[in-house]
Amino acid sequence: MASKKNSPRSRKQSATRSAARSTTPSASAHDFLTRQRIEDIAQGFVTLAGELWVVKDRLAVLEKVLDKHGIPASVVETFEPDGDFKEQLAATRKAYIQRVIASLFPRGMPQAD
Amino acid sequence: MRNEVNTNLRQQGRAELSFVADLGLVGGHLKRIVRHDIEARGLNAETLAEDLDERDQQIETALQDSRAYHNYRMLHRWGLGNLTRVAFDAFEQNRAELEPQLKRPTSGPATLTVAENVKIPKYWYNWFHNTTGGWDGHQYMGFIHGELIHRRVVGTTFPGGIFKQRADAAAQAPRSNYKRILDMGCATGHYTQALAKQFPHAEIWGTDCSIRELEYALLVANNNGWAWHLHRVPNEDTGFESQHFDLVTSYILLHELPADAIRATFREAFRLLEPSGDMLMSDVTRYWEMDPIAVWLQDSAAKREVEPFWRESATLDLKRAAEEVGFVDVESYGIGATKYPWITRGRKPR
Repeated sequence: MASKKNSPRSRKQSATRSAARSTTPSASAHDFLTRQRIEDIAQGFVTLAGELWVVKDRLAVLEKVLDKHGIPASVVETFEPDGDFKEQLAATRKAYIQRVIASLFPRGMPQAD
Repeated sequence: MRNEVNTNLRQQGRAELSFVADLGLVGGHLKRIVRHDIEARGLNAETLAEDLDERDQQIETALQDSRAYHNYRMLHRWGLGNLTRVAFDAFEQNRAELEPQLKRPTSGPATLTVAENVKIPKYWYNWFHNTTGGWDGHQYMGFIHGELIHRRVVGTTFPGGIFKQRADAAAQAPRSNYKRILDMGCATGHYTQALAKQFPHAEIWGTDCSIRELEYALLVANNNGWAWHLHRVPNEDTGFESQHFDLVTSYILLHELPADAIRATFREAFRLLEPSGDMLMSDVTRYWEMDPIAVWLQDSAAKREVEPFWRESATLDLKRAAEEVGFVDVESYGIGATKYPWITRGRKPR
């Protein structure tokens, strides 16, 4: 008696599954974003976020300084935020980081409670 | 402080350091979510293993599908890999302004003694504490670590502030007056400053293995008119005269040491104290005072942060270790609700 494994019906099902596999690439064969690569990209993502913040910060400083005085850009380089502006910049930075990190979660930043 | 080094940074360095600091705050938030995720998976004091390695496996397995955990780990890794780089870059961007301030001949009452033929312990040469290049890994590592990393980044993420914690620890000394105080592992002098303020009439000595940290401590002391006696010697074997001090103290040094070195440090403190002198050591919270999830969070973070002796130190009974070398009236306790820092104090018998 033919075994169930080698029965015509079984062979047909097996062939169907093989066909399905050939048109639906498996993760290991075709996906280049393996778990390690995703982790590496995430590292780069955060680095990029840091670089972007540098630009955002610089623009904020430039706008502030130029708006007030119109003095050379060299002043911007050494401008040390203080008082209300320092607080405003810190608040903007914190909110920005929250947005970036929240984007790593499908429903936004989870809450502890 | 007066005559401080002008630490104003160029825009990029200033912005990057503030970014890293705030990222750390988000990491702290995610850590709380991770704790929630652990508890939601039925892991708690009753179900978690006693053995720390087994507990680590248990939690790691349970958190395989925790997005919060993955992101927390990813952020932690990024912070560890980039903090020193960002600080080095910030220094280089402003080297022209900073170097003359750091290199100028020091004048003032403080002294720095670098004895020859001092044997620095082998463990000190590792890049522990995630200090890229080691504690002497940059010509101006004292400034970079003390001002840029510690004050600007770490200082913003510790609840209550790192300087208040040091002042609180100094206030735990049993007496209000001391003649001569030794700060073991003083680095750039953040705790030494707290001692100078708490005991303004005391003669203060400081030791560390890092010449770069001590060089910056010397500058800070001279800029403030503090007559510190700084020495590059290991805390376990200072070579100082016996019974020279009436208070021997340290802040956040012990968790950097293997248990044998902690015991040797206590022995040296005992030798250096005059009869009735006090030892006051402050360090990280003992594991047995923390719940099992908090222990895991701390222990696994310490591993990533290259803290090879944290577990060994945090599980050591410091009260017993102090009593074993001869201290009496030994107390060991944590400050405040968080029990941080952890204080161990005792008296050398008369």
